[in-house]
Amino acid sequence: MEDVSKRFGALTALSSVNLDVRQGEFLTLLGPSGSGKSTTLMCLAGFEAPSEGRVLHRGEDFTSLSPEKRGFGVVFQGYALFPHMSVAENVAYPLVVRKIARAERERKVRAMLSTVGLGHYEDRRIQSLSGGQQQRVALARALVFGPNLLLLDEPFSALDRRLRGEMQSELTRIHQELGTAFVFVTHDQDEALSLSDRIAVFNKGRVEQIAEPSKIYEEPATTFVAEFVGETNLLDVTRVKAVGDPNLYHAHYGDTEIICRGPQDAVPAPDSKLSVRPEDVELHATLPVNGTQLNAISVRLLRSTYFGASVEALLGDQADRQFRVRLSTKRARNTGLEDGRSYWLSWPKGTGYLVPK
Amino acid sequence: MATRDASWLGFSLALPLPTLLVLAYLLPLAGVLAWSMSTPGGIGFGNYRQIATDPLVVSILLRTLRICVAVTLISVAIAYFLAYHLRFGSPWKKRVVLIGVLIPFWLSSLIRAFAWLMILRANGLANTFLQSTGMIAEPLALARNELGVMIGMTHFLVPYAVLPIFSSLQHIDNRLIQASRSLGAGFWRGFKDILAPLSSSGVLAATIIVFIFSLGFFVTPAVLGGGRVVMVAEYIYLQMFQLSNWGLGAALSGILMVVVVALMLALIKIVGIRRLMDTAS
Repeated sequence: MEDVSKRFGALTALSSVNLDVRQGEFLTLLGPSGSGKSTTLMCLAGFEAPSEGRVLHRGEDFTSLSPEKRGFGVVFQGYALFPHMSVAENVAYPLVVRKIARAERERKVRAMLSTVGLGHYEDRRIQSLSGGQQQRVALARALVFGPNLLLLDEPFSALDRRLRGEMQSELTRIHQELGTAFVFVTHDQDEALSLSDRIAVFNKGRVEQIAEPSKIYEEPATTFVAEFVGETNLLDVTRVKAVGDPNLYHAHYGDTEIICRGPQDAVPAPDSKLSVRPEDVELHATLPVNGTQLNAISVRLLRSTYFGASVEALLGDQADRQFRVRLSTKRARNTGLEDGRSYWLSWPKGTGYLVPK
Repeated sequence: MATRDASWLGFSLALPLPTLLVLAYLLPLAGVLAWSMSTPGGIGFGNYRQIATDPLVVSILLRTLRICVAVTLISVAIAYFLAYHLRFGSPWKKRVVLIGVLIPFWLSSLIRAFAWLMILRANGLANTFLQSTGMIAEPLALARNELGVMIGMTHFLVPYAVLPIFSSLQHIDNRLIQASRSLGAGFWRGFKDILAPLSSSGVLAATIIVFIFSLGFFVTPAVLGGGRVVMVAEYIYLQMFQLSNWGLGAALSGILMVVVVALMLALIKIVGIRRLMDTAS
């Protein structure tokens, strides 16, 4: 996709989106609702025409090609299975339209149904299937004609949590088995992080960052990405300067000196935001002894929330800036959490990432 | 004792409607059916025998059937087209179709019939326009024949067919159409495989509703047929009120009613009474 923009009346849904789907990859479009991820998918599928820009497929201009001629598989939100056809008829439909001979059609339908784990469901009615099974039929139908791109529009949003996990691992398996490129739309960051080869994070019709999941999480390009993917503490730091090591920077948080990571290619502005993930932060009742390896700040506990395996603590410093810290329950018990008490908060030098924008 | 009082009260509160139906509808209807078996002369099936054998009556019944079938098919086809745009069209298109469908509801059938007569008659709007542009030399016979009657009836019936078809299209998820296209089906292929089967119950309901309505048409054929296209309703009127041949009129009414009731039962069986009420509202 090249410089694709889409406007609905006065509303700009997409502005200059550039997206490149690589052969066989699992690319996730992640963003809050209304961020343009679904519109992007619909532009790829051909159900929305871009107001500007082009959609290219292997060098061919697909921008004004109708959906039925693109030959991409699409899995819709709510599955969109044909209610008046059986499971096998649904899956066979793209082959019937393509005038594939009966014997081969039946062979392919059977093979695809067993790939998605619905071996003996050919004659079942759609209405008699569970949500997860309908999901599998929708996948089989979108893949049976061998598309080289599969587009999935929030396919798991209607499933309960347990089933969702099951379908996620199924999807990974099917992706690896078939080698088809998948473009997957979701607003669920965990889903995006665990499934994808690459993630494109959308916000307000723009792509904020495209990168591998670990890079998205550990080196967010913008404050939006840092806050949307996972939880984080964004600290206003000053006097940022490089320290020789291409990855490391020197900065000040208030009067405290901090060593942190940052982008390799460009030195961030002197006044930047520092993203510190809650799981990197430790809480201590007294000033930690091995202080030379840690960035440490004195704080007061505002409140703590129990999550079973972990506890989230909300802390404030003298300047009333707040921090979120996630501790294992065991660790929290050892430290002894008491609202209003003073603690030391620390994270290792060289963790925390300076967000460029 | 208290409960018996309450149920008696409920029963008596519900009583006025059945009473009204029996007094104002069923009793007179029984009277009409009694005429068909008793007048003129003694008790017997003479009137029904006449309907089956009299060439004039048979030809009127056949004409009624012919016109009603043709009008029903044409109306349902036009209505499908309109309902499709009402469901899938742009907001602007939807508004135009909706206004076009609703306005005729507010005009009486008599006014509409005369309006069509103004347009279709020999020196009416259509013929004068076509003659002034030189497309035809002689006026076309558009009114005072079956064609005129069919045009007028179709115009009347299309809105009634739009609603059930629209309702069935409304139940079809737009994503099903998108899915068929993403799977390689073009517009007509998707229409044939997805839209048509999923909207067939609405089409069937529309067909039966329109056909039932068309059987009872009286004013439109009388005005636009100019006395030459007599259909069964007008013929019944002639027998009853002009010729005082009450027996034959009553027998024809009875047959018409049996046909309509049978069609209604078929409609309810196909669509289900609940869906039908939904459609109507």
